[in-house]
Amino acid sequence: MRVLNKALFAAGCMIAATLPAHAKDFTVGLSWNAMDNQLPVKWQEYLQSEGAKQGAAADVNFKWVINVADADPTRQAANIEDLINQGVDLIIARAEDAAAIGASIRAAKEAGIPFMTFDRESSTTKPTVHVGGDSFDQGKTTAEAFVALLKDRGVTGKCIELQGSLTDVNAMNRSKAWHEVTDNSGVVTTLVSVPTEWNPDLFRSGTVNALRANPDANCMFLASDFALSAVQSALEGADRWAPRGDAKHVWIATQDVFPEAVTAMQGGFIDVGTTYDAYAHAQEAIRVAIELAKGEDANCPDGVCLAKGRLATQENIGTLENLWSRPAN
Amino acid sequence: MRDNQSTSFGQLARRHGFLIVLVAIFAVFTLATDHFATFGNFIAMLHAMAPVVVMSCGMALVVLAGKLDISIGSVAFLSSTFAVLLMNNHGVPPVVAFAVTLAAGAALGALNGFIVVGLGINPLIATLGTMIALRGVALQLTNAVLIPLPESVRSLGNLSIGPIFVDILVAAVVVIAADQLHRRTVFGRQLNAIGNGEEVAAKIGIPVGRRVFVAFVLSGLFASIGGIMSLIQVGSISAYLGRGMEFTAVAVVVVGGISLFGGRGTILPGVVLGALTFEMIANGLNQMSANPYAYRLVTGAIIFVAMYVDAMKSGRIRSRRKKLAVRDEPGRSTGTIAETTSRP
Amino acid sequence: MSMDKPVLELVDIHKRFGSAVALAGASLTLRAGEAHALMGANGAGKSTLMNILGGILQRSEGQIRLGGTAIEIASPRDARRHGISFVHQELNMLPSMTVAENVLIDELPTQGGFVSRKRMRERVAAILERLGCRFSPDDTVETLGMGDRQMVEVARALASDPRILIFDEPTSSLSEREKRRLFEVIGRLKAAGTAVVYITHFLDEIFETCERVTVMRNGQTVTSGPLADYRPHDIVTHMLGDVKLEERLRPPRAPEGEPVLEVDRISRQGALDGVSFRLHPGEIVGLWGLLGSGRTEILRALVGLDGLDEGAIRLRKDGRLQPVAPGDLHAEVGFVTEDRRGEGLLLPLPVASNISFANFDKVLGPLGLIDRKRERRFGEAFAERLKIKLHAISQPVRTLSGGNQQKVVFARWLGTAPRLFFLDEPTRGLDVGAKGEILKLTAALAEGGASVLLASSELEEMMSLCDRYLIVQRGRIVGELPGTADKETLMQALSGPGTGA
Repeated sequence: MRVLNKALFAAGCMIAATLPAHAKDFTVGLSWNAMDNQLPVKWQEYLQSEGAKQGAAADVNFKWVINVADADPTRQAANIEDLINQGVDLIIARAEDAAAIGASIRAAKEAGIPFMTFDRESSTTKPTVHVGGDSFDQGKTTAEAFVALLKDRGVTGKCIELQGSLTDVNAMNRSKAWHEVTDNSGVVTTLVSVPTEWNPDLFRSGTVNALRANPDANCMFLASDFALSAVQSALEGADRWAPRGDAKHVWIATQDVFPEAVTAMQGGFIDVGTTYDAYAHAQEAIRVAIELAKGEDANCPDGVCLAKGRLATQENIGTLENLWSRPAN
Repeated sequence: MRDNQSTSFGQLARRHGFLIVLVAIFAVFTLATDHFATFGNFIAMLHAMAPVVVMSCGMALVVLAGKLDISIGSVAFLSSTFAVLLMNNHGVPPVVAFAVTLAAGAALGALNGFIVVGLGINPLIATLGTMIALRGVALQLTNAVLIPLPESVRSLGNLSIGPIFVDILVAAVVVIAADQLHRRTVFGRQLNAIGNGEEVAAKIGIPVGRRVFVAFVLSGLFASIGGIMSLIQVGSISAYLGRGMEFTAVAVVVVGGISLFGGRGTILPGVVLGALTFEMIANGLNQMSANPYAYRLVTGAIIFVAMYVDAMKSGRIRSRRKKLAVRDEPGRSTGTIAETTSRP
Repeated sequence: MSMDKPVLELVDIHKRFGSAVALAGASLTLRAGEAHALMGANGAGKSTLMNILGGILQRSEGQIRLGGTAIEIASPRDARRHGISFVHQELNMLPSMTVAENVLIDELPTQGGFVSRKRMRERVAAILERLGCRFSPDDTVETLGMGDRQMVEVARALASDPRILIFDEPTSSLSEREKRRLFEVIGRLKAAGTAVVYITHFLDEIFETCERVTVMRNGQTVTSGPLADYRPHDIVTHMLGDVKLEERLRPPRAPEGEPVLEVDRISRQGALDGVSFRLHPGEIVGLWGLLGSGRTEILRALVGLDGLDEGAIRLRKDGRLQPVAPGDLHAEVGFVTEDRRGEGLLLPLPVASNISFANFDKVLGPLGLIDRKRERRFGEAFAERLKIKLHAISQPVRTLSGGNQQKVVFARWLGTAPRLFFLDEPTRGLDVGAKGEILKLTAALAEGGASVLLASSELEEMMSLCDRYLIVQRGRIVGELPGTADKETLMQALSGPGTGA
């Protein structure tokens, strides 16, 4: 299936990329850790469309070789090895494991191929450049807005934190930012942190068990809302899924703002969140890639170019511009 | 030759060792956390383990016949995928969509049965193949993306009668039915006989191939039921549905005292106690806010112990047989007739 | 019930497999309330005849009459319907299941779709009662001893209320006490009017339990009648028929020179009892005994495949006899048995690799790795010497004929140039030509100075080679005969004292 996927993508991309005639060919090897939610799908879509758009303007003809590692760090290392052997001009990789990706970065460096970590930073080796969402800022803006909201409403928050995968740098950044802001806020305390490994099943059982162990909990922080339905299911089971204003309401701060979260926020169930702007990430990644293709400075301080997310609230959720996750209607 | 009535502690431990472990786990978490030993938490555990129990029933039937089906997680995923796509993209009513899921589960089980019985391929290899392939098909169909269920269906996940979730009742019905099927029907007894020794069973006149085939069909069917339950609980389908479930089910079955060598053990209470063991560990560690990787370590240790006990039990019986044979030898018949022949 | 009216008659049954004739006029007449011994050497056609009776095989010619009417037995189910049931030699047990389930597994009584445990228990309890068994229908089989398991097998055969019950070597795994019980059960069955066919290798048993006997040889019934008319020796003679005496491959010679091997009162509980003998260089000694007499056990014990309780083995080394452990002796002995695969022939591997297997030191290259070229030459040398018929030395052993496979086993041992050869039924399953070559090879080994210990069921084979015979009975050596002993003497030794009756 992976091979088939690869072949399909590669074939499709090659056909698409052979159209412009005189531009300089620039082959990008794109290594996904997994295609487990809408985000990577959107990223890939935006990367390819931006590549075509910005590429045409800059006379760079983007070609794509894409593979997916199905959430297996070992497989991702092998996939990147493949890309190196094919002699691509740039590798863009979203790491499954923040530490393990270091070896692949070193291998690419030895082969003289520039390496862009995308979305998830390496914790061990510095790549040529890192492009992603500013996940620390994301957690920070959400946490600050949440603290302000609760203070405003005169609520003392006792929160359950659903962490992401402990090997995901973004997940850890969001958690770190959350704690930095809330721990000394005097308004919000975190009763328990539940690691989910990004598994929806654990989002559900983690919520259920945490509520059992902490019946006085009245708020939650979600490291991502892609599996919101599982959290919703758990809260419904505990009879705690209610919109703001209802006595049973659990105050929820969230990250990413996936389509279900948009609906839930519009319905009053989620209070604040910070978007994870797939489009902005892709735009930035392609800008940097073009600079690299031309051998120019990408202007990334410390080799890191981050795109910030935007704060979403029940008030502005209907009007935020260019929100990929909001159904167009 | 029967076991005498002496009950030393060692014997007690061997016979009821598993219950002792269960009680110990319960005691530890009761002391370590505030809300573990509550009625509400007990219900929550039963709710969470319901899909596992159902899927383990199918696995148990296959294992009792001395086979293995490690494709059940993928069967659950793929068959549920059909339902989700039909409901979301084609507006098919949930009842019809889930009927399709059950039919798909049985059909995929039949595929496994055909590969094992018809093509004579080792069950582990056969279902390893379908495990990978079927998951691949499902990922392709869903684009590996998390797809939420329609609101009306999702709310079924917390449907309850009084304090008891409907999932728990479904699991109870399935586990009792599977147990009766195994213990009280001719089919079940024949499966057990096959697990005792395929050659012997064939010689006695049991249609081994057909029975094994049916066991795989049932395994697929149960996998799809478990898939539906898991799907509705989480409220969305994602690549995580059923992932690793095959190994959880094998672990549940083994810890529940059903021998991987086949023909030994019972679904009740084995499967329920096995599932409860793992659920208690997950739930308890979760409530203790323990390191998430501790769960894997503890689970692995328990599986290892269960396998060891299983092997020891079989080994013990074997060695006793050997002793018997040796002891009987001195009395062997005297005066044999010549096996001399004059062949042309 | 008249004792004279036959229940079942098998009349002049013929069975051909292609051009091979398995049965050429076999007959058997059974009467109600009688136990009928069916005797015959291996290959005499007993099992073919019984398979025809059991519906597993179809006869080519002849008639089966049940109570005077001709019938067809098309399948095992058919046989069962006609009231014919088998107790097989190997026990078909389901160890983790109860006695009741084991007995009724192929026709579990049901009520409303569910197995009725009550009816199952009642039926089986009644059968066990008839058999005089003291265990319960609810016991699991794995908690039962061998004798009780045999009774479960009998109970299963009785579950269909057979008029004819066939016991195929039922006592081979039973203790004396359990055997007694089985005989009592057979007595009870006879009293109830069941016709019993009793197949065994043990002469004493048939005189104890049976009224009539039928002896088969070469697919034919050679004699049949009331057992009172026969002496044990008569039955042996009928079974063996005329042994065609072949030319000796070499004249018998008296032991000469200092013994190479001395076996001193070796014993193993239940198998061997104070076995002593000496083996001289260049002689072929035959272990002459019945199946189960202990001849194979002696060879196995000598090379350490079975443990020893007592006794010593001494091997000539540096000019004197020195004690040697059986395991160590194995390394000095060329050990060839009928079980070619069991003796470590690796069937999927090439002939060359199989030959070099015991001779790695002779095929190593400079780096201590196996030198393929040397391995091939080494193999080819033996293939030529032993006239192993093959296309290429790289051919897998699996593709060779049985005789040539056996030669590969010999070749492997010849490479190590042992002074001793232990041969246990080395020609079983081989065709006449291959058999002759293996025998000639054996003679050549002895000519070359090796000492050979030979155990074989085939009298003419023994008589064409052996320089002397050790008579083996019940794990003991009860006598010795010179190589010049004639057939009559040798056969007399078999049915001699200790054979019972």
